[in-house]
Parts: sequence; C-alpha cells; structure tokens
Amino acid sequence: MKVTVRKKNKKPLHYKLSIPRRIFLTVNTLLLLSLALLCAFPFLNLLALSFSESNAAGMVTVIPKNFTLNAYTYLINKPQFFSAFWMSIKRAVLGTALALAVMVLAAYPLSLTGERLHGRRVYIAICITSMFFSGGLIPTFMVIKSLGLYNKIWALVLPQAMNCWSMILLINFFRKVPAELKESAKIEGAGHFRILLNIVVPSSTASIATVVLLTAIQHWNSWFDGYIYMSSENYPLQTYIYNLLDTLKALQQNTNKTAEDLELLKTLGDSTLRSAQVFIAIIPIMLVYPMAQKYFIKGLLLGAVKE
Amino acid sequence: MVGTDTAGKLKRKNRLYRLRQELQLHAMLLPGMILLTVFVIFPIIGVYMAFTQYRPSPDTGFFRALFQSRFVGFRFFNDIFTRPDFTQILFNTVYIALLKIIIQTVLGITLALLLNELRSGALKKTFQTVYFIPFFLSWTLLGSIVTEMFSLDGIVNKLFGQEISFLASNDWFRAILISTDVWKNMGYQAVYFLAAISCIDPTQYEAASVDGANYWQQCRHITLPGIMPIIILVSVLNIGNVMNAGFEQILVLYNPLVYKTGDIIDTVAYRIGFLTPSLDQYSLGTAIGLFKSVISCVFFLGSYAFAAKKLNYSIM
Amino acid sequence: MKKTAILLIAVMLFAAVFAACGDDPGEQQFVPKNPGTLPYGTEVKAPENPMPKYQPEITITVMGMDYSPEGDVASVYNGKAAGPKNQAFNDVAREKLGIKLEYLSSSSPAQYDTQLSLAINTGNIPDVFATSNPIVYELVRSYGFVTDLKDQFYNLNAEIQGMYLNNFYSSLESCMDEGSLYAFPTPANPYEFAKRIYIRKDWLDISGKTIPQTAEQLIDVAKAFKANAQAIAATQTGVNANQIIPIGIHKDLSYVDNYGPTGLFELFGAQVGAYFMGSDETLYAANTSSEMKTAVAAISQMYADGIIAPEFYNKTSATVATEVIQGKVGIIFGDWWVPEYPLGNSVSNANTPGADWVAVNLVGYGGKEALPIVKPIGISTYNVVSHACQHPEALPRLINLFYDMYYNDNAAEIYGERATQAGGFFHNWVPVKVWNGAASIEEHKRVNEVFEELYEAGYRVQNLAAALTETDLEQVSSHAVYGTIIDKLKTREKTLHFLKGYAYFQSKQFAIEVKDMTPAAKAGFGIYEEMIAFNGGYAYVTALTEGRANAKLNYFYGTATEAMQSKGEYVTTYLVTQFTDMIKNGFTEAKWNTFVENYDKNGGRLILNEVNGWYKAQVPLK
Repeated sequence: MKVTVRKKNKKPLHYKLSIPRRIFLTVNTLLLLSLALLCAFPFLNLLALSFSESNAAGMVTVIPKNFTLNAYTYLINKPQFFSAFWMSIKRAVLGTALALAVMVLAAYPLSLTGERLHGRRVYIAICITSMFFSGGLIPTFMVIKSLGLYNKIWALVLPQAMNCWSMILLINFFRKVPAELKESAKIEGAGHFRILLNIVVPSSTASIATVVLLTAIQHWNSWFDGYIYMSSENYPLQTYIYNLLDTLKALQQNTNKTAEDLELLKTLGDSTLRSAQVFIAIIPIMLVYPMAQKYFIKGLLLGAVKE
Repeated sequence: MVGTDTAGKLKRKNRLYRLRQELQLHAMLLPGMILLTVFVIFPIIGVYMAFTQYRPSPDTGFFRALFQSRFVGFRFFNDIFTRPDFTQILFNTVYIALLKIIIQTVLGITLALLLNELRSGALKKTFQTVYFIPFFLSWTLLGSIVTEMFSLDGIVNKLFGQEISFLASNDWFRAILISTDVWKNMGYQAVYFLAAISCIDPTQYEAASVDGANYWQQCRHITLPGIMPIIILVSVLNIGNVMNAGFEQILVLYNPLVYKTGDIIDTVAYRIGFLTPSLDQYSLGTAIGLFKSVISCVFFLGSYAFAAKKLNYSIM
Repeated sequence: MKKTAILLIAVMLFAAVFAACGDDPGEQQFVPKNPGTLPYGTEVKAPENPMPKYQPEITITVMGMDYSPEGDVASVYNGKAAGPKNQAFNDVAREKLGIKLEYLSSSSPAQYDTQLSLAINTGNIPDVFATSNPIVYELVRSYGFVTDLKDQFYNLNAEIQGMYLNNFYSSLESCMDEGSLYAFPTPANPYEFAKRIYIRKDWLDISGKTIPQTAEQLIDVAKAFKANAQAIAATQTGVNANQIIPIGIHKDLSYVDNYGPTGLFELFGAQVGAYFMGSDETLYAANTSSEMKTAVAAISQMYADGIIAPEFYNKTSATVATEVIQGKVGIIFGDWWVPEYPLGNSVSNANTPGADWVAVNLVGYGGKEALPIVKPIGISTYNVVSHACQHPEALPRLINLFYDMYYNDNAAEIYGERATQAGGFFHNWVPVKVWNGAASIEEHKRVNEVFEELYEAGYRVQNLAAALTETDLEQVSSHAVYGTIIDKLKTREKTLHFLKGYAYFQSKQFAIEVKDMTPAAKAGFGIYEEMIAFNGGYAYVTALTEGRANAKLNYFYGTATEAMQSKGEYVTTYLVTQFTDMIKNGFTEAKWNTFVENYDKNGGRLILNEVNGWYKAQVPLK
C-alpha cells in the first residue's frame, strides 16, 4: 500500500507503509506515551501537593486533597522567592549569552584542521586539565574573592562561561560544515571572523541551540555556587529552595529551642508550601526547551544549502 | 631578477598574511583561555593542601599560610587507601558510574531514534519536553518518591505481587540506582542525539527509499552511522565522569544494609566530614578530590586514545 | 609505549619517595590542659549602663545566618525583603548602641560554618561572630584569631553574669586556655536532651493496656498495638492496618536525636558514641559494652516480632515525623519539645480525631533502671571577638541588647514593634547572642503556678470552640482578680502560653478526653504538654536539673581526637552496618563477638585510649 507524500510537516514519508511498519508505529507511540506519563508523574504530584492542605499531604498522588490556594497566597508575600527567581533568570540569560560568545569563538580555531595554529597542544592541554582538575573550594573561593566578585552575579557567570565539555561538542559540529563553503569564502577574501559569523554559525544552529539549551539548564539548576559565592539575599532560585530545607533541619537541631522556633517547625515541616515553590521553579526552564527545538529543524534546512 | 623578487615579496606578503590570520585565531581563543586560566588552572596550586596539614594564620594570606604549613606527604591518601573497605568503595564507584554511562547512552540513542519516528511534530515536541521533567527535579525531591515506590507496600511490589525490600537488598540496589538515574537523565541525553539526527542529510533517505530500502535498513545504514561520531564523542566525554556515580542520589536512597554495593567515594567523604569534622577536613577533601581527578583523567585519556587509534575518530 | 612505561615507573618511584618522607604519625599524648581558673568569684558586678552608646558611631563586621522567614516572622522589613542584613536588630543596635552592623556575608544555616571557614582561610574574619561548631572554635582559638575576653566579663549585664556564675560556671571555664577566656558561650542545659517515651494514649485504650513500667511491658504494649492494628486503623482516615507502626525509629543509629533509636537504646542503658565511667575509674566505650549487646539483641527480637517498622532502615527523621502526623506511629522517643512538633500536629489532624499522647519516663530492662543519657556540659554557640577588632566591648553590649530585647518584659514599650517577630526581630538572625540557659525552668514553674491560680480563682474560657485572642487577654488583664494573677507572667508567656494553652488546660481540668475537645482547645496540646503539664516535657527537665531525677553521664564532651579524625568514620559506619544487619537479620553471639573484635581492631581501641587520655587532662567539672 503506497501513501502519498505529506507536505504538512515538511517531512516526506519515504518508505512504503507496510503492516509490520504500522504495528511498529502504534507500539512506538504507546511506549513513548507510557514513558511520558512516568516522567510526568512527579510533576503532577508536585502540582497536586501545592494545591493540597498540609495535613493531607501524605495522601496526595496526582489529585489535590482538600483543594486550597494556601501555598500560593503564602508565596505572594515572600519577596525572597521572587528576588531569587529574578536572580536565576538574570544569571541564566547573562551566563548563557556570555558562554555562547566565549565558546563559539574558542571552538572555531580548534575545529580547523587545515590551518596552522601554534600552541594548539597547549590550548588543548589547558582544556583537558580544566575538565578534571580543580584546586578545591578554598583556592577557587580565594580567586573569586580577590577579584572582587564575591556576592556579584559575575561570580556565578564567569567561572562557568568556558565549559570545555560543550566546547568540544561545538568543535565537532563545526567540523561538519562543508569545507567548500569555507574555501569559497576565503577566496573572496574573508577573514576568520567573517567566516565564523557568516558561514560556520548559521550552518551549525542545531549544535548551538543544543549548547544554549544545556548551558541555560546548567545555570538554572546549579545551586552550590550560589551557596558559596553569594550572600543569602542574592541567592539564585535553586539555592533558595535548598535553604528552605536547611532552615527546617537547622530548626530541628537547634538546641536553644524557643517556643517561636517550634511554631516555625510546624510551618516549615509543611511540604505543600515547598511544593509550590519547586513547581514554579521548574516552569521557566520547561518553556525554554520548545523554543530551542525549532533550531534543531532549521539547521537541517540550512545545512543542506549548497553553492 | 624581477621574478624572484616578486616571488620573495609574495612569500613575505603571504607570511604576513598568514600571521595576521593566525593572530585572529589566537584572539578568538583568548577570552576562553583567560577565563580557564584564572578560574580553574590557577587555583590548582591549592592542590598542595592535600599534602599538608593546612592551618590558616591570622597575619598571612592564604598562599603564604599554605606553603608554611606542615608537610605530611601522602598521609591523607594513606588514611583513605588503608581503609579495609577501600577497594569495595572504589569498585562501586567505577562500576556504578560505568553502567550508568553505558545504559544511559544506549537508551538515549534509542529514545532519540524512537522519537524521530513520531509523525506528529506536536506530539514529538510535547514528549521531548515532558521527558525533561525528571531532570529538573532534584534528588531530594525524587528520593522520597522513589523510596515509596520501592517500599514493601509500594507500587512495584504491588504490581508484581512480591514482598521484596528492594532498597535494602544488595542484589537490587544498584539496579534501582541505575534505572532511576537513567530515567531521570534520559531526556537530557537524548538532546545530543536528536540534534545529531536532525543534521543528517534527508536526501540520503530519499535515495535509499528509491533503492527500495525499508525502515530498518535505512536506520542501520544511514541514521546510525550518521550519528556515530556524536555517539563516540558523548561516550568519551561521559567516561570522564567515571568517578561521579551520583552522590546526591545515593545519599537519599542508601542505608547501611546496602553500603556494600552502594557506597561510593563521595558518600564516604560526606560521612567523614559530617560524623568526624576535624581541623584537617579541607586537606582530606582536597586529597579525595585529587585522587578522583587523576583517575577520571586517566580514563578519559584512555578512551580518547582508543577512539583516536581504533575508531579513527579525533575529538580535538 | 616505551615512553609511557618509563613515565609510569618514574611517577611511581616519585610517589614512593614522597610517601616515605614527611609522614610522621603526629603527637598522640595529651598534654594536661592548664587552662587557668576564672578570676570571677560568685559576686555579680553589674555595669552601670549595660548598653552605652558609642559616640561617634562605630562599624562592626559580623556574619549572618539566614533562616528563611516562615510563619509570623516578617518577610518584609522596611519595605524590602527581610533577612539578617535587613532586620530590626540592626536598626536598634544602631540607634541604641551606636553600632553599625556590617554583614560580610549572610548564608543558609547549613553553609554558615563553611562561609565562616572560608572567611577565616582568606584572612577576612568578622570583628564579632558566633559559631556552634566546636572545631571552628578550636581553630580560631588555638591559631590566635580571637582575643582574650576576661576583662569584658563585667560588661555583661547582671542577669547573664548571674547565670554564668551560678548555673554554668563549668561551661564558661571550658572556654579558657592558658589563662585567657576566649569566648562567651551560650550554655545549653544538658538535661534538655533527656529522652522520654511518647505513647499514643488512644491506642493504649483500644488495646486495653496500661502505661508500661518496664521495657518488657513496653514491648508488650507494642505487640498489643500490632495485634489491634485493624481496630486502630478503623479510628483513623487514610491509614490501613498494615501501615501501623508500633515503635517508630529512623535509620541513623549513630545519631543522638529525636524520633529515632536513641531513646530505644537508652532503655538498655546504652548510647551509640558514648563513653561511660567504669568501676575502675576509667572510661569504657558504650559501643562495645554489655549494655549495647543486650540492646541490640533485644531490638533484633523486636524487629522479628514486627513491632518496629519493617523498613526502618529507609526512614529519615523527617519521614518518621510525617508518619506520626499521619497517625501511623504508636511510640516514639524524643526530647521535651516533641509534643509541640510533631505530636501536636497529629492531635490537631482531622484525619486522626482520637489522637492523644502521653509522656513516660524511660523504663528499664531486666529489672534495671533506665536513665536518660546526657553529657555533663553543653555549649551551643561560642561568641568571640576577632584579634583585629578595635572595640572588643562591642560584643558584651550587643549581647546585652539582644538579652534586653528578648527577655525584658517591657520590650514592647521600649522597642515597639521591633521587638516582635512580625516587626522584624527574629532571634535566629541576630549574629551574636547568649541565651539564659536557666530561664526556661523559671518560665515553666511560673506558667504552671499562674494557670493553677487562675483556675482556682474561677477564670473560665466561655467559648471553648474558638481560640483565645488578644481580646480575651485584655479582658483577663483588666479584671480585678485575674489581672493580678496573670501579670505574674511575662508578655511573651502571656501571648504564647496563656493564649494557646489555657483552653486546653481548662478542658483537662474538666476531665474532657482529648478526642472530645474542640479543635481550638486541641491546638493547645503541644504547649501544654511541654511547658505546663505536671508530667510534661519541661517538668522532667526541671526535675533532672534540680536533682530530683537522675541521669547517666556520657563523659566525652570534647571535639574529635586525632584517631577519631582518621578512623572515627570507618568504625562508626562499621557499627551502623553491623547493627542494622543484626537487627534485621537476627542477632547471634558469634556476630556480636566478630563485631567487637573488628571494631576494636580497626580503631576502636585506639580511640578509647585517646578518650581516656583526654579525660585525664580535663579540669574537674564544678
């Protein structure tokens, strides 16, 4: 049975649609669907918890128990949450932009196979060493402190700007750019910068989108550097959320327990409040992914353009 | 004579031109290299702390105090290596990490391939986003969910009609660690491969279907070879992570009954810092970090060389 | 290939040489401490003005601990997000003392010690700071980072001086070294860590059991709970019979904490990590003692009988607390404040309408008496002054200011809104402070007396269905008779204890069962059972402190010794692994003997020698 080519999503069906094939497609979709449900479960659980009443927290699976907006109204009055949220956004945007610029620039020279680059081995050695060796907490902190970056957003953004892992990824994708394109540009007298900006980058949007996505995710998720380099009023979001649990643990161990502390324990032990905050923390990054996906397809089209 | 003169001038002009071109390349590398040197390479001096009993001093700065501290050689390494359970811990770390890497890569590829077969673009995008969700939830959150799922009266036991305490059994613990971690990271891993698949030239598929190839043949001869470079790249890069077997995950899921199969270097280091805090804990931590770095680097270089020589694939 | 081989051999040779030199074992003998004695007698010499103002204003650098503001702690202060850097205490310190507090950093409670260590290591320590980590205190003291505070003692206010001289002299003296006093400690009453047993009273009634007098009876009660699980679960919502856990413990056998196995071990006279006095005047390790052997054997039997949660080894203390609130647990062990959280939450949980708890002192096994095990002294924080600080008297003044804002009954008049949590005063944010370790006992007695007197005088809450409010307090305070009685309470006690506890107290006097009380009355369960009940949590602490009840002492209260640092974690992990295995999989003599042998061999004996050495070098406690 032959099927006509569909123009809907620009992906032509390029093989006969046989019965085993159809079975496969159905099974595939079912499989992926069940996986999606499995992955969505904790998310739905979180959502349901955030709308539930605190005493009923243990019984919630995906439906809220005793629906209440308690957790969210409570959240509105917490400027700490919002400033942490904003700090994470600032850091993700700034960090990703900076990292992109630095890494794209650095990946290009290392991706060239024909050109002569003195000290290439040194550069590669520095990269590899940085991937595995670290001075430890105190020396790194010392460097940040003496550069005056403590408690500034640059302490979160600069050290992660050059990530050799992602850079190696970029190098490999840059190598895939057809050599003829670069040659023709060179004949026309273009310098390396021009080649990079006009030829290499547009042809590698898939990989650049990947790196942007992964760097943004890394910034959004990272919590430890916020702990060490920032003062608590400037904590990024994940660090702030970890602090909620830290406060709970500290109150439980705190030896001079005042009556006020015990009141606090009652509130902090409440997982519904935390769920609301964690839930909101996931939303922005979930929105970035679909936006990045567009580029995976785009690269396909542009990469096929020939002279 | 005019001919050689112009040739010489051309040669010098050529050289100058080439130099200018190369300078451009070095300029491009400059920001990245400066960042690396300042924030990563320079602090490596501090690794010396692993060989001294570092004590800060009120009058001198960090580096002066570091080099004035008492030198103890390999004492801290000795403390770790002579533990009776050291080999077990090292084995656990490497074994769990390697299994995770392998299974995660294989499943990531499979997922990418399967996703690629969905005909509805909207469904594909939704699924991709949903698969990402577990990646964003930290193990402190997922820990309680997983513990409950695998508890004696949890879902898994109910489904299979058994009464196994999975998280207390040395036979099952690693399997749970690996499977839940793979589930968590699957969406993330698939991204690389999805990006790579989208880079394959569609005309190859058209040509193959004209030749009468069915789906499996196309997959085997076009898709897989097309993303093989990325597979190798991602695998080699991941192998560098062989000493990070998932500290946060193991910390929330483990218990004394499964220390034999689940205890890794990081959890031991954590317990040392927590149960017996001491004046030497930074030096000890640095020693452990250095040990991990060396082993990771060796693994990475090994797989890099393997990929370069045997698979003919150069990464850098 | 050859090149790499040569390189590898060279590296190994180098490493061997490296390892051979510079690896000395370090000093192991304990030089007897000569800390000196404090020059203060028993006389309090109060300063004329405990809180003078600096003219002109000075700046003092400090570090902040950022507890996330919850409950009625202000989230916003002066229009901006509240926290250590933006809190009422800073403003008041500036106005009253002329001290501008500058925060070098502010971090979460878990990272405070790390931040402090980083500050110390990078040479930028705050002028005045506090630490609860004895290791950090040891570091700054022995390496010359902090100054002598002996002369500052008489700058403290009269109450704090009195507290040190009369109640906590040993704690203060333990902060001395070579004749100098290096910190003003916040002493913790060690009896506040005495564990008690808390039992679900309604489950006792359903199972037809009475309050146990011995450990064997306690085990019996637990078995009865299990046998009656069906009936018990029927009285609750959302719990089924096989979720009922008679005795709730968590997995961390080596911790001394709440909702955990600590209390359970204490029934047998054992505690993990403790050192007891032997008959030969030397200390012996509790970990390998005969008491511990009895304990592990008995607990193993309990597990086999199904009265401990089958998966206790997966539970954290947070999990157990949650299970208590959900109504799954019948017996837990904990400190005096456990009635407030989580027991109070379970009482007011609509899903467990019959929940009621009773506190019982530890009961002994095998005819012996079980005593709570505590350390002889406890210091929760050390307040110190940096060697570079130009104004060391700022520390006692700040301490006095906090003391005044917290304990002064007229704080509301003097400081206004800023002395309340809602007004931005959160004690956990204040960088340095000394608590009155003896105040809670006085509070407990006072509140008790006042409640009894009020009831005798005839004060009745009219509407028990509604919680008491500030209006009720005003009415009582303005009443001719009740007013004089209630004025014996401090402001804080009026708003916390009276408003929250009186309805419950009155219901109890009417002999109303907890399950029949109104939710408003039930809400007072926690505060009543800890601070007011004659057999409540704090009553027990008072009895221990005043010598009317006895405790067993864990004599090792120092920081980790050398051997503990290198081998402590290994032997503790080994212990926890073996104990968990013995409890779950059955106890045998052979297993125990192997455990003791390996424990001693792999560091236990070494550590014990060091502990004894440490003990001999200590100044005898007062």
